[in-house]
Order: sequence, then structure tokens, then C-alpha cells
Amino acid sequence: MKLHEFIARRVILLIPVMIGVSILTFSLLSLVPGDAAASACGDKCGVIVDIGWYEVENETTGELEIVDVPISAVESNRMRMGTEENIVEKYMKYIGVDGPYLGNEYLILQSNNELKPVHEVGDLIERTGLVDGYWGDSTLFHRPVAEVVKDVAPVTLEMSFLALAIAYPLGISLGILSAVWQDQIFDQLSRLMAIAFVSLPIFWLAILFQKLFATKIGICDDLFGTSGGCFPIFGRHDPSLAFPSTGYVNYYPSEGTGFHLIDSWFVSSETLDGLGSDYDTRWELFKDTLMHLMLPCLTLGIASAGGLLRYMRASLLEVLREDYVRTARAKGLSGSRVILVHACRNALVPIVTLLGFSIGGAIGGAVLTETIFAFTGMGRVAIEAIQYDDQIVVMGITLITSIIFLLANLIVDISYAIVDPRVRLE
Amino acid sequence: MMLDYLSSLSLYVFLSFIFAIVFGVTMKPRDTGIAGIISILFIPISDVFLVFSICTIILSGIKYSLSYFGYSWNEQYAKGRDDRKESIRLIVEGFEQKKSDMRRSILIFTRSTLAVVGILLVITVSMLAVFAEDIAVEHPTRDLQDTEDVWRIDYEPRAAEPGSDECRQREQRVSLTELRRYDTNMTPAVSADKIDPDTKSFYTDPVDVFIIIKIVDTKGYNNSNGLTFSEHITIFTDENGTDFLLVSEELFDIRQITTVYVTYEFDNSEMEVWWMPESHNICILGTNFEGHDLFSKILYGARISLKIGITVAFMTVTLGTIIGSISGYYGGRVDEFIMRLTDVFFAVPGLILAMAFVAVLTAIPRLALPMEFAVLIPLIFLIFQFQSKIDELTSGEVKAQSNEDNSLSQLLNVVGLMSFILGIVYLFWSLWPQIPFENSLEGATNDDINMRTLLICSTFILGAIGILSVTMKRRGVNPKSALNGLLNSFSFNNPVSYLTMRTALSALAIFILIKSLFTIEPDWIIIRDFDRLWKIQVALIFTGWPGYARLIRGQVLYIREMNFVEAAKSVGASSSRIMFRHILPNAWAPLLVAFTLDIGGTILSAAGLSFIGLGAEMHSAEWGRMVSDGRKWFLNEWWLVTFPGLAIAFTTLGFNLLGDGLRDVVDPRNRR
Repeated sequence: MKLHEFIARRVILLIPVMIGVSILTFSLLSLVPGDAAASACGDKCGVIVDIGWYEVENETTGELEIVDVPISAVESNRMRMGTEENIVEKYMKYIGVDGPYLGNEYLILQSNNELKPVHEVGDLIERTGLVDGYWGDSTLFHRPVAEVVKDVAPVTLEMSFLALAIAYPLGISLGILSAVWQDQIFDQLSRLMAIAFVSLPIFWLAILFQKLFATKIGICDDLFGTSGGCFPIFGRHDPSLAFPSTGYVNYYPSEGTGFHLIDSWFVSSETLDGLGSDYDTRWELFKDTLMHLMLPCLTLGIASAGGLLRYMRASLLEVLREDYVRTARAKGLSGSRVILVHACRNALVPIVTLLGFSIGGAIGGAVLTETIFAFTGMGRVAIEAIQYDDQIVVMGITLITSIIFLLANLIVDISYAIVDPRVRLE
Repeated sequence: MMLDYLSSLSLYVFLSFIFAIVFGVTMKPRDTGIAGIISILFIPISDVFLVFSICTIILSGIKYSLSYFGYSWNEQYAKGRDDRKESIRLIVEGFEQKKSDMRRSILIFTRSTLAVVGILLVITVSMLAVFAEDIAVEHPTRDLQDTEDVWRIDYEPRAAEPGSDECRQREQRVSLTELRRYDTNMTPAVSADKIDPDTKSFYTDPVDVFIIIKIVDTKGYNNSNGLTFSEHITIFTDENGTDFLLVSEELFDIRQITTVYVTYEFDNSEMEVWWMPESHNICILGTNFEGHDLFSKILYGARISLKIGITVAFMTVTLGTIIGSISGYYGGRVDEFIMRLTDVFFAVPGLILAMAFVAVLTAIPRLALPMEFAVLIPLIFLIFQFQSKIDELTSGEVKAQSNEDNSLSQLLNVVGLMSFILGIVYLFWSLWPQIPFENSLEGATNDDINMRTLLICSTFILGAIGILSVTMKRRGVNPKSALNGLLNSFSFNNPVSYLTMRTALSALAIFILIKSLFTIEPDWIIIRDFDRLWKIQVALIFTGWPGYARLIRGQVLYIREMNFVEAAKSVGASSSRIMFRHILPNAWAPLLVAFTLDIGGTILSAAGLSFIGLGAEMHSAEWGRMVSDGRKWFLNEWWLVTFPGLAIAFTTLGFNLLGDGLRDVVDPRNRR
């Protein structure tokens, strides 16, 4: 099989899974009992959003007269959603194949802080369904779900990626040492450590780290003589940096990709000037962001490193039994060269394929660390949405995580196929 | 009347039913009848005898009629003595075999120190959970393991450090105004308000005061109007040994002072832990800001966590095994569909998917199945049981009879298939809201509901007959010989041979069927009080099954190709028999490991969900919730977070180590 064939096959195989995930979220949404029309407008159901009319015959003149009736938000929703549709049609509209999805339409927050129904805003035609990027409207945030997701996804992703950047070197190096000194005291200890890392509750570890590294009574003061700890505990950046916000997410002005580590490098000089005397250079801004990310990522990284350590150890032990390792040893190569060059390169291959799964795990764990370190990421927004019965946001976040997860796996698989052509043959 | 009666079947009635059947099978028909008639006399004492007498009388009737046809029951029963002995011997031998297997497994297990540590941890936590009531010094009002427990409300809450003196102290509010009103200058020293578990009302206990530490007024000063309080309030013990706080005349006369707070050290013996040394034996893990003893709460939390872990792991294993074995055994399109389904579940990270489920479940007040579905589950199970029984019976039959055109079997085919199709159509009607059909139960009377369930049931029973007749035809057996074989196969002379899981499950299915058929509820309630703790459990079950399904599928695919399965097939064993008798018993090993590891993982995820506020309620004894409650004060009150977290960590660690140890045991390389 050629490489491009392999890639095409993998991409095509993704489609049924994506459809499956959309069916899953849709059926979960349909399971929510109660009046969908009423829940879509929340506490604003009584607001008059439209004037309807009907014709009556005037009894005296016999002419037709037009009578105006005010239509409240809930009635409007009811008219839009319709009650006669069956579940298949509703699903088709949900994914946007067949007409506009009006499931959870809501009054949209305008730039002048005014609530207006979607059809008055006038972009109804453009919003049709999942495939067109319209994922419903959030009743909690008064914004389309896609926008909310676009704001919060980078926060979680940034944290997860950095966490893996900590977890992989840590897990792999400990795994190598553990395999090299098999059944010695270091091996026993690191295996126990690996199990312990997997067993520790992330949220608890995070709180302990806050205490140890980030407070005035923590170990940092004793070690470095600083006051106020090594790392900041809360938020994505120094609270003195006043960035424009949309109520729940802070942006680097205008040029935001959402990833602050990237944004801080490309921030414009005018913005930099406005930030105050503490942040003169981009490097200081970058350092501030990195420092804020340090503790959450360390927590997440340690939790993921346990599993990686065990995989690496098992994989390396397997490879060390192979003939070519013995051959290399027989030829008189030094022990470290055999392990690092011959064995490790082959042992690393299965570990790298785990990367896709690790991202899923890290995103799941990030839900907890975000809560503790006050990052407004996907997890925190999802929790808030659950508490306010705004299920469509939760489903949007479920969708985006699954897309990220699938894409990550796809990329890993493709790069694996490029590196190791044997994979393509199967 | 009979229907109403059956609808109130309880466990005891069910047991008496079983007892009556055993009795009726083993005794002579005359004795059975006499026993039934005598037990009628006892009906006024208990309803249990009604069932007993009806069953025994019916059985004796059957026996008499059978003996009329020349089939002597009791002779047959006497003949089966050797069979019975053989069956019992087989059971005993099975136990012996299991014992020796166990001994070897323990040998392998104890080789690893970590595994032993793990099992010790698990045993410790389980013991703590079981004996929490005896070990804990403070108790919730309701001894429930779920969110409904209410912990004592201390009106002068404080977070006391582990082992600190503050736990021996109490600040009592003395209202001088009240004392003046009743014209008395002493007030008894009493404990904080306690909740009486029986009456659910507050009460106080007298306490033994040792020494007064400090006395302050409402503003926090220890002197006022030229008086130092400590000189004017003293301890007074009356002849009964009750301690009072005695207010001096001078203080009593100063009307401006209305309230003072007296802090004294008292005999807090009921909060003492017996196994700790003196002066360290009180609030050994500290108290929280509500004044709850953390040690007691953690002990009760072990119950919640273990319950969640085991329930969820057990349910996911069951669900995953059923789905995975179907997928692996039938293969083809079923397999393809199920595997794509698991792909979908795997495409979303576990915790996020669980959160999505919780989001939906928050709106659902109780977990219930519509009766249509509820009736289906035991029905389908029974149909399959029946079919596999027929399969077994007819497996040796010669196909010669198949050519005979049997009018009865044709009739059965037609009726059965028709009613089966009718049943399915009915089901779709009742579930599909667009089709105008009366599916609303509002205003439905009991008769309507009974009619409805009876309708479903009868169609499906007819359907079952249809399936059976089709099976029989395919196998080339006519119904008459099948019926004969069925009658002969129920060898009542050896009841021991029915001591199987299959009989128990069938009996349970019949019981559920009877119970649900004559109920007036529109739904079959699975969990009535569907609180938030249950919601996270259900969410974790729904997200956890695909892993097991894949595991079992792999095992089934592997074992299916083995020789002994081939042999069983060639003898003509039914697919369910092959599945339950040959494949699954050989696939349990990795399942057990995954199950153990999953208990730990579930405890961790459930604690995480509780931590972010989706699980247990505020101030309940759930560990994750305790960490979350104590988080606000973690900078100074370190114990609030540390100890519950350690409890989670140790429990999870125990299960993970145990799972690793079990993996070594079931590893085929170690089994030799």
C-alpha cells in the first residue's frame, strides 16, 4: 500500500466514527426530558420576541381584519422547533444535512449587551448544523456553542500538550533506567512509583503541589529563599495584566490563537507598551504564561508518566531479548550504546503510538486541574454548563474533544506509517 | 383476587414457592396433598401458607394424573438415588479441584511483595468500611452509605488540628438574660446539639467540666463593667455529679451583660480512639470547619467509595461481557456494528464522556424502564433458555422425521411467526410517538396496564413458540417427539442436578416476570432515589463497558478456534451452551484482572467527579467531596485535604497492586 493510500484509508475510516459520535451526542441531547422549547430560552421565556398576526372576519362589516398577537420566546421556540418531526429528521437537521437545526435556538447577546432572537440577527441561513460549524446556542453564555468551544479549547490543549511534554521524557527515561536495572532496587522503586502515580488522585496532587511549591510556607522558600513560592497558583497570567475579556475567557488582544505561549511571542509592540512596566519584553510575557502553566502541567504530567514508565519498561525488556541486541553486544559495542541506539529506538516506537491516547487522557485529567488552577478551559466550562443545565455546551465540548482525539490519533498513525513502512502493509 | 395477590409477591412467598416445589417433588402424592390441605389451616397466620398449599395441591394433582397414565413418580425418584449420589459427588469433587487450584494461585500470588501489600490494603479498607460504625467516634444521623447521611451540626464550628487540645474544649453560650428570667444563677454544662437518630430531633448531654479556660462576652473581651469574668463564673458540681456553671451575684446583677461565652475543657471521652496513646487519642485526624471529626468521616467515606467502585466495576463487567461475547461469537455484521460502537465510545476521553452522561442524567429524577422493555428482558432470557434446552434434547435426533409433513408444526409456525411480528409491531407502535397509538398512560386504569402487559407477554410467548417450532423444523424434529423428550428430560428423581446457575437465573426471570406483569406501575423502577451519587455511577457504567466488550471479544475469538469448542460443536451443543460452558469459563482470567484494576480506577474517577461538584452533595462523607470542601482552607488547615486524599490514594493503590498480583496469577506462563 502506498503512503497516500494509507492516509486516505485512515481518513475515510474516521468518518463513521465521527458520525457515531454525533449520533451519541444527539441521542444524549434528545434524552433530556422536559420541554425543549422552554429549556432553550431559560429564564427569558416570557420575553416578547415577535408579533404574529391572524385574520378575523369583522362581524359588522364582513371584511377581513388583521389582529396582532405578541409571541413570547417560548412560543417562538415552539413554532420553530416544531413538534411533528421524527427523530431521524431531527438528527439530519442537527448535523446540518437537511435544513437548519433549530433545536436549541436562543436569544443572542448583541454587541450592545442586548438580547435578540437569532432570526432577528439575520444569520440564520448561515447556521445550519454541525458540519457548517453551528453547534447550537448556549443558554448560559448567551453565545453560539462553537464560539464558546473555540475560546476554551486552546486553554485545555495548551495545558495537555505541555503536560505530555513533561510526562514523556520523565516516563521514558525512568522506564529505560528501570529496564536496564531490572529487578534491582531502583526498578522495584520506580515500578512502585509508577503504580502510585496512576493511583494518586490528580486533584489531590494538584492541591498538594499548590501547598508545596506555591505558598509562603511551602518548600520553595526554604530552598531558594524566595517569598511567595516558586510558581503562581491561579489563573493563566498575572492578574495585573488587564486583557479584554468576554466574561469567562481572557484574550491576548486581537492576535489571539488562544494558545498563550504562542500569542505572547507574537504580541504586538503597542499591546506590550500598554501592559505596564513589569512586562517590557515578549520574553517576560512568555515566562509569565509558562510559570502559570508549570504547576498544572507538572500535576498532569506526573499522572500520565506512571503509565508511560510501565509501557517503556515492558517494551524495552522485550527488545533487549531480541537477537540483534545480542549481536550488537557480541560485536563489542558499549552497553550504553547498545541500549540507547539499538534497543531504545525500537522500543520507543510503541510508546510514540501511545501519544494519541495520552492526549485523550491528559484532556480528561485537565478537567480537574483546570478547576483547581482556575483556568477557564473546556472542563471548567463544561462543569459550569452542567450545573446550569446547559447540556448543548457539554455536548459541544464532547464533540470537540473527540475530534481532537481522533485527529491526534490520525496524525500519530500517519507519522508512524512514514517512519515504519511495515505498518502500511497490513 | 389471585392476580392482586401475586402482584404482592415477596421474597418469603417466593421461597415458600420453591419449598413447596421441592417438597412436592420428593414426597408421595398423597402426603403432598395432605400437607397442602393442612397448610390451608395456617393461611390466617401468614400468606406464605397460601402459596405453599396451592403449589402442593397442584403438584399432587399432577402426580396423581401422571400415575393414572402409568408413570409412577416415586418409583422413579427411588431409582434416582445413585444419580443423586453421583451429582453430589461431582459437586464435592469440583470444590476439591477449586481448592487445590486456589492453593496454587495463592502460592504464585504471595511471591510478589507488592501484591501482598495490595491485598492487605484492600482488606484493611474493606474492614474499615464494614466496621466503620464500631471504629468511628462520630456518626451520621442516618447510617446510610449514600448522600443522605446528615452529619452533626456543631454551632461553634472550627477546624481543629489533629490531636490538638481544642478537641477537648467546648465553648458554651450562657445567656444571662435567660437565667435572670428563670431567676437561677446556674446553668448545666451541656454538650453541643446532637441529633437523635430515632426521632430526628436535637438533644444535649450533660458533660463533665474539668477546668474553665476562658470566658468572653459577645465582643470578645474577658472583662466588662469592672468585672473579670473568670472570677465570677465557676464550676459547681451537685450531689448527682452533674456539672453546672455558677454565675456569681455581682455578675448576675449587672443587667448590661446579657451573654457570655464560656470555654472549658471537658471529658470528651466519647470522641476518644481507644488504640491511640493518652493525650493523642482525640480527633486524631483533626476536625473540619463544620466541626465534623475527619477520622469518622473518612471511615464512612470508605463505604461510599467501595460501594461505588464495586457496583460500577461489576455492572460494567456484566454489560461488557454480554456485549463482547455476542460480538465475538456471532461475528459478521453484529460484530462490526458493536466494534464501531466501541470505537465511538473510545473516541471521547473517559472523564469527558462521563461528564456528558452526568449532564443528561441531572435532569432525570429516577431511573426506570418502560414496562414494555422490562418485561422483554426476562422473557427473552427465558425464550433462549427454552430454546437451548430443546436444542440439547433434540441434538441426537435422526433427521428422518423431517420429511413428514406435520400439520401441527405448520400451524405452530404460522401462529408463532404471526404473533412474533405482531409483538414487534406493537413495540414499535408504543415507542414511536408519531404513529397514532394509545401509548400515553395518563388516566390509564390498572386494568388497562394489566391488559397491556398481558398483551405483550402473550404475543411474545406465542412468538417464542413460533421460534421453537422453527428451530425444531430446522433441526428436523417434530413437536411431538420434542415434547416427549422434554417430559422425559425433567428427571425429578435427581433434584441435585438442577443446582445450577441456569436454574437459579430461570427462576429469577420467572419471578421478575410475574412480579412485573401484575404491577400497576407504568415503569419498572430500577433506582427509585436517583440521587447524584447514583448518577455518576450510571454515567461511569455507560462509559466503561466498551473496554470489557473488546477484551471479551478478543478472548472469545481466540477460544472459539480451540479444539474443545470444535468438539462441543460437533456433538451438537447449542450456541448458548458453548458460550456459557466452554468459552466464558476460559475467558474469565483477564476479566478478573481488569475488574480489579477497574475498581481502583472507578474509585478515582468517582472521587474526581465528586470533587468537581457533580457527585456527592456538600458535606457528605465522600472522599472527593471532602477534599473539595477542605480546599478553600488548604493553606493553613492542611489536614482537611491531606487525609481524604491519602484515603483515596491508598485504596486505589491497593486495588491496583492487587490487580497486578492477580495478573501474575492468571498469566498462563505461571500456571504450570
